[in-house]
Amino acid sequence: MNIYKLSWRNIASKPWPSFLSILLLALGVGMISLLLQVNDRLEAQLNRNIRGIDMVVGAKGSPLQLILSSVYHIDAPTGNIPLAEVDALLKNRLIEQGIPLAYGDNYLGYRIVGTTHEYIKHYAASLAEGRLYGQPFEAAVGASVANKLGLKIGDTFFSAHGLDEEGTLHEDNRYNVTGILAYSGSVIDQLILTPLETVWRSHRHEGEGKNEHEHEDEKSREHEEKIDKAHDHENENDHDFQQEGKEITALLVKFRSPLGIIRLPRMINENTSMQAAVPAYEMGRLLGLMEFGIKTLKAIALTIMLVSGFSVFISMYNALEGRKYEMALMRSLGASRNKLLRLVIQEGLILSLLGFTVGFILSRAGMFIITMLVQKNFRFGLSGFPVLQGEIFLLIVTLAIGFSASIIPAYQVFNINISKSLSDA
Amino acid sequence: MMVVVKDLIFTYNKKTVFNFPDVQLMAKEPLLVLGESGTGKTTFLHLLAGLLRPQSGDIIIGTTHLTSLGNRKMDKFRGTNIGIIFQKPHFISALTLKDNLLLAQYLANVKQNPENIKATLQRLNMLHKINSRISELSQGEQQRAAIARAVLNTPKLILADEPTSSIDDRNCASVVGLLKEQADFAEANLIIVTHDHRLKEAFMNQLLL
Repeated sequence: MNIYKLSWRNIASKPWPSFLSILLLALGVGMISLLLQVNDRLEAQLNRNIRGIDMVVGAKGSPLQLILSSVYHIDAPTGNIPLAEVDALLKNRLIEQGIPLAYGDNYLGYRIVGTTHEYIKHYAASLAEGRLYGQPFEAAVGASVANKLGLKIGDTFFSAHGLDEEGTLHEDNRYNVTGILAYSGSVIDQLILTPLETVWRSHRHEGEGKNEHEHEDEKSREHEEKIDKAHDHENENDHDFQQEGKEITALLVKFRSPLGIIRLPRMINENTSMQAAVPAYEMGRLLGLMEFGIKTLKAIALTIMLVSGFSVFISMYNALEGRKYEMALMRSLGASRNKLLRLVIQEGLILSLLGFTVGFILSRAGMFIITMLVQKNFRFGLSGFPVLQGEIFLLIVTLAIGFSASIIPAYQVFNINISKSLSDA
Repeated sequence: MMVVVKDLIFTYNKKTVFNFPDVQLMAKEPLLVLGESGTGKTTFLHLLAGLLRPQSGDIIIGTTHLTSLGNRKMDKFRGTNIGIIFQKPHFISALTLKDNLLLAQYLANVKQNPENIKATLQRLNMLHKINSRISELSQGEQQRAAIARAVLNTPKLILADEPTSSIDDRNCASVVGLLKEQADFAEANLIIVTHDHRLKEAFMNQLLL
């Protein structure tokens, strides 16, 4: 028998008030911890994919949309840009590397991206099996895609036009899976990669039709499928495209020197038909917008926690009224004031610690559910939930709440009138 | 152990002032304190137990001047040297009988000793209730459990407040018998405060408040 055991027994002997206190604390802690986690994971995920991309060049439109579509692959592209203009830009001495991306199709909702092998190298992804694509219509599949769709080396599939699952099927575009990529923790896990030529070939007719349908072309995803099969059978004789006709969707640029960021975006935006967006800047803006919402939710959660602290206090205060004579009894059995003080404060701390633990578990369960939803809806993973600094701070705050809730009951115990309490009971 | 009470005065307020008679007990000598309600019986007992502080006067138990002890030392002294049986049996309701007795050892800073608990319960014929919750005990059993707790740490002084107030004649004799027996066993002074005149015959040494 000791004070710890006694604290536990006392908490267990009044299960409902204890349960209420723990529940309220857990809700507050769970909410705040969940917000911290979402915020942190989102930022980590956003920053991981930004790394090494100093600038994105694409069609004119919203810079945020350009970044979201070509870096994170979660929004529709702003349109296409002519390869000729891109090539001209790449001659600039300030540019160290430019990775072209071309979109057009998807397979069961997973985007098919035409790009060079540089793209894979950029995300430090490696092959799990097979080989990288070489010929048109060969594909290297991201780890999550392969896992979800059960794709294996040698499998074939048909792409659908556009970026939605519902797009019209290109029945003649048969892709061969030549490689499966290892899990890299970046957007590449959620993509199907193929040579640029694949995209050019399957959308060749769009390039040709450009003169007639210029406006529609700028919104490539809204394009109506206008292939007639006869058109596509000509593909075989069409190996040498005209450079002028080719287009890509975006170019991921790495600068040679910091000078690039000062000169190039402005130069591109003012002098070309293209748009340049800086990921770091756009993401900072986006997170800034989100921060307001997160702050509001945090304030709500903090209020819940304070209410729960009050509940702990009421619960302990009430219990103490009934237990006053128990306290007096323990004094009469030789317990010092300090021992009883410890008993009461300990009960407050145990309650708050339990609340924190339950809340912590709730937040992890919440993260698990959010991750599943996000992956399903955005093809965007939030993996690994480390304990954050904010959560350690949260633990301290929770314990402080439990401590302050027990101060008044503890004070009463300290000044208890033993003789009177024993005679009154 | 020797118990001495001298010039003891306790004041609740200006109107209620208790002037207690002097007492001098030799080691192991029992005392019956008789008094009607309102004569300060319980106050006297709580003063002896160090649960109340007197206005003036002296209480000496053995070689210790109780009135001069600080709070912490008082609690400690009470835990190890004084066993108290309250008018109503008070226990920690969340605990079993055994845990209540373990708690008494723990709070008195005595080594927790289940063997001693069993032996004490055995002497009081309560061993079979060792794992019962207090609420499951009958009133008579609770009374005996309270006696068990009071004598558990072999105190030098056993104080009993109206131990027979709600008991019939037959059980009254047996409770008094138990108390005397346990006091003898612990070699302690037994002081009973009561208004119950049935106890008069059992004690030579009496004090009227």
